[in-house]
Amino acid sequence: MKEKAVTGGFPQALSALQGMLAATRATDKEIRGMMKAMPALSSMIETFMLEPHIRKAGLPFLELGSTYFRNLGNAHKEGKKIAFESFNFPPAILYALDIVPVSPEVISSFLSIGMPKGVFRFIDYTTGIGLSETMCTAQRGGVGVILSGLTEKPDMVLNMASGSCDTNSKMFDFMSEYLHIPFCNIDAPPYWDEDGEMIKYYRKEYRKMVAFLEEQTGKKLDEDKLRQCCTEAKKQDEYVAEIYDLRRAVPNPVPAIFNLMMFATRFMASGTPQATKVMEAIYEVAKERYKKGEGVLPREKARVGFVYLSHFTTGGEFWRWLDHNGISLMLEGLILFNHQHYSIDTSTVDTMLDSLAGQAHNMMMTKQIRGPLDFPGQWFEDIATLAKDLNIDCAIYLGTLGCKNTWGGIKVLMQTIEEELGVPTLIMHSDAWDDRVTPWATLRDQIEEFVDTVVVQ
Amino acid sequence: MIVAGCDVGSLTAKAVIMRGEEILAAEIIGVRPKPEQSARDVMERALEKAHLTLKDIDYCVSTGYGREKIPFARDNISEISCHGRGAHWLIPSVRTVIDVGGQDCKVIRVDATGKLQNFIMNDKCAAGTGRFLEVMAKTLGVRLDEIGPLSLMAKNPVGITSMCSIYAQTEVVAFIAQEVDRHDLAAGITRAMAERVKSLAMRVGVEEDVVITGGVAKNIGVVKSLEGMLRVTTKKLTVDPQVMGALGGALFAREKIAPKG
Repeated sequence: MKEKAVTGGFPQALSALQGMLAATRATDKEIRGMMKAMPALSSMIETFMLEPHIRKAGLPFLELGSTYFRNLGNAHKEGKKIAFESFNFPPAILYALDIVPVSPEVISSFLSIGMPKGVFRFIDYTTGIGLSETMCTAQRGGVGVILSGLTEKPDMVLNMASGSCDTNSKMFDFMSEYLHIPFCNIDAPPYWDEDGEMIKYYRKEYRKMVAFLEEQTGKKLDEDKLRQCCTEAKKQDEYVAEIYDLRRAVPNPVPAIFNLMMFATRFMASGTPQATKVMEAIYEVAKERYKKGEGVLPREKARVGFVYLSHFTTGGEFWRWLDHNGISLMLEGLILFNHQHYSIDTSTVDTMLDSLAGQAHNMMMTKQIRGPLDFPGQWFEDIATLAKDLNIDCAIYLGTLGCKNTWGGIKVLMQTIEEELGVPTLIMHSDAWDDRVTPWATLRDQIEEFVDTVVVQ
Repeated sequence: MIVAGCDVGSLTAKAVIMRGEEILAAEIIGVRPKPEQSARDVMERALEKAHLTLKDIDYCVSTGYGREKIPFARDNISEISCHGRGAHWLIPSVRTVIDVGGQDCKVIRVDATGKLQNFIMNDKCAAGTGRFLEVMAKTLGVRLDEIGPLSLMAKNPVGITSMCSIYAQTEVVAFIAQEVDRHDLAAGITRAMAERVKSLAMRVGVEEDVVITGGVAKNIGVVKSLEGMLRVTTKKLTVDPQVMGALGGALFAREKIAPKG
């Protein structure tokens, strides 16, 4: 039996914030006024709006977030279907079919930054209905939000990252059974060959999903609409590649929070003009800072590679603190796709589907950090490539308790990084979406200690 | 030049006063409700022992949880750095420092020059910290300092399996109800404690020479168990292992005022 719905007003509040921002010139005074007027969203405003250089990209990003949640709320009124899907999947194909995506990880992350106490109560809600405490909190937080009735009920389930981890994949099966909605699973083969049988197999699976989506929506995939989405996705990829190049500079001109904005934009809205607007804004800000020789404040003390996750459950403080303490966030697991410019061929429907399938299969936790069937060394190879290219000084692991795949391999990964790249490493026991595991203050002190005493000597 | 280090921890506050290479005084007190008060009280006692006043201290470095709240400290440095520095000054051959304090445990790796190479801290629970021993001593009905010697006389140490201090306490209560010999219980407790510390130490690797600092270094049962599990013989410190952080603070203070060049 389902528990009584947990109520909350985050989507409405975010929409109201976006409305207020759109109605003002967003001056410093107005932003501070909004923080006072909307205390529940003050961390969201502080993270994306308070600092002028962040604000230029933060405003379109908040607009994008607001659209994401508004679409979710209005989908059924507008006759659209909602697909419960995985974060590590570019949703351009869904937008091409007028399907509204909802990813639990996106919800968990947005609410962790935007709401006091993040998604704790939603994580607990899922425990209450019988899900294990050792399952991924990024999923459980968002699933708790959906199952407690805070969003519209999804109409279908898509699992496009079947390799990512067993419990992660099982959640899709669970959602289908629990909500009595249809389920489509894309199988990712247990081997890697960029141009051979693997990609052929995955493309076949991808087309199976397209057929499923057409059946669910009663619509045929429209070539022109698909091309529009692919063209937008292509522009976004080009911005991502440009931003990656800027990051090579010393000091790094890309503020830490832009990393989150980039991967969140891709996860939420790849293929939409709004996502292109966000990527363009991020690029313009970074380029301007690069030209001025501006880096992370007050000086670039250390260039850190976060080999897996950032820490979301801090109301955005994680990224602000890094910047203000001269710790440059050079890479993190969720942007491992950044250096792989996967070109989209918009010639025909077939080339577009092949390109989108290839891109999906290159996403993190589909390509890297898979379960026992991982491609040997894939995680390390990509991290090592980035680490050398971006000139990192150290590597830090922040993850979640539920991430069996990374916990299973992290020690070996870090030892290899130490031996082959010659940089110190730090493994932290924490949960990116649940501060109750290890409080942010403890993690912050340890990161500071590590950077100040082991990295910078 | 007279320097001082003041370490305000979770359960105790420590102070060390030095002149040159000589330790003039070292003191330990239980913490007061506020770190400032703990610092003042412990420093007052150390000063009294050294026949000095606060005005005689040229430079003081604070450390520990309350390090930012010490009014008479001119700088503050983390416990990890201070423990590493203190232990390395006493035993230059040391490469691994295992600090087991009242509410946390750290394993610190230093190189030949005393620079930090790596460290790890427990940050979850009381298991593997002094608090665990305190809870267990109370449950057994013995004084904290009795657990170590009692454990050495065990014939069949019990196995305590719970990772959580509270559940471990429940296990001990059950053993008491079964009238298990208290020496065997004490040995089970010290072994369980050593197991937690060992698993932490293995994560950063253990290189000899090894020293144990912090209050738990005074528990012979834990030390012997840990030595057996790590297959090392730890080096014995010539000063109270509990004041290692404060000593490191004093050494940093000495560096701060040392003539440059």
